[in-house]
Amino acid sequence: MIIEVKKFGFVLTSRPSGKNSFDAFRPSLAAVSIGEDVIVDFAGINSLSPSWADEFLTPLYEEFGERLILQNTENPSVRLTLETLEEINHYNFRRG
Amino acid sequence: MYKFMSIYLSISEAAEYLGISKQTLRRWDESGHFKASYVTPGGHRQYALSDLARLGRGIYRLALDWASADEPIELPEDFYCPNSELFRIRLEKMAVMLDRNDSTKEISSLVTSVAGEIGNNSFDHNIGNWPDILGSFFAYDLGKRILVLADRGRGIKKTLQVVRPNIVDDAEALRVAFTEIVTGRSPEHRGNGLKYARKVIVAYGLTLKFLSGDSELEIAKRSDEISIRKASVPIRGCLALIEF
Repeated sequence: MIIEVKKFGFVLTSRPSGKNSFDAFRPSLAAVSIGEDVIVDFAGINSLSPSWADEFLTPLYEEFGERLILQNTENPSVRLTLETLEEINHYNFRRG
Repeated sequence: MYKFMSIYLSISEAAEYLGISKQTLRRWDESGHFKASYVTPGGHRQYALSDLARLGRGIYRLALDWASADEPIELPEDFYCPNSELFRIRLEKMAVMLDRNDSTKEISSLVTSVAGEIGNNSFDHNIGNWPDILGSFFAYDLGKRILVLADRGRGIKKTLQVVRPNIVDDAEALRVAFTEIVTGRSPEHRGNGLKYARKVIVAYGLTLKFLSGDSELEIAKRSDEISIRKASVPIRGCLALIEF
């Protein structure tokens, strides 16, 4: 499954918005097959910050672990946000 | 401290507000560099607070006046976000403008994300607990490359004391907020957005001044050092000035 982050917005910085986005999308995760990778694609957004990302990515990481792959992470706010989350939550995302 | 209680100021008040002379304001008016908002039938120049605030330095001054006043002064509508939805809309508008400008598009995502973290904190950390007026101040000057955010919320100390009850003063609260990982996801989900802001400021040569209570923190350009001192004016809530 590929999740296009741009479908959740252009500026992704607020914690309530991150939580709402995850809660709204959660039913779609039922379509992920056993062993299937979940790819989160950051192309096309302006900005991401740790509050939004913590609410959206951390539950995905907790559910899918190494099967969660992040791609198109070159945007500087995406890159620094992922580094910040890894430092705070003591995990490492796989990057595609 | 002088408080500007009116939406329109005389040329003397406007000069004091901006920290410049009346002669300079007259010269600017005549040259068209910065026109008076209107001229009375008697020929007196009048300046709208919102026009003055657009002069960049005035944005910060207006936010400081608002955040430090005993009672909240009236703000120009353009700069006041009574709820997080309006803040989101204005933040996205700024992002689009930064993206469109060749000189700022490289740092658009960073400036926007830091403004988003700081601005959303105002709402997320004060919901249901605003001491007086709810909402935030949000203004920017893309020409001068500054943005200012402020609120009259509980401030960093009270917010952090929920998870760090031993924090004793505003200076310590600022240090913890910008340098320590305040975990975690319990008892309440908590951002570590100010550490992210510091990371961005240091990595990309921005500067940040952040006031809360009676203290202010500064991160200078390309410096990992933070300096914390007593603020010249104690404020309610938080105030951030970002130069990019």
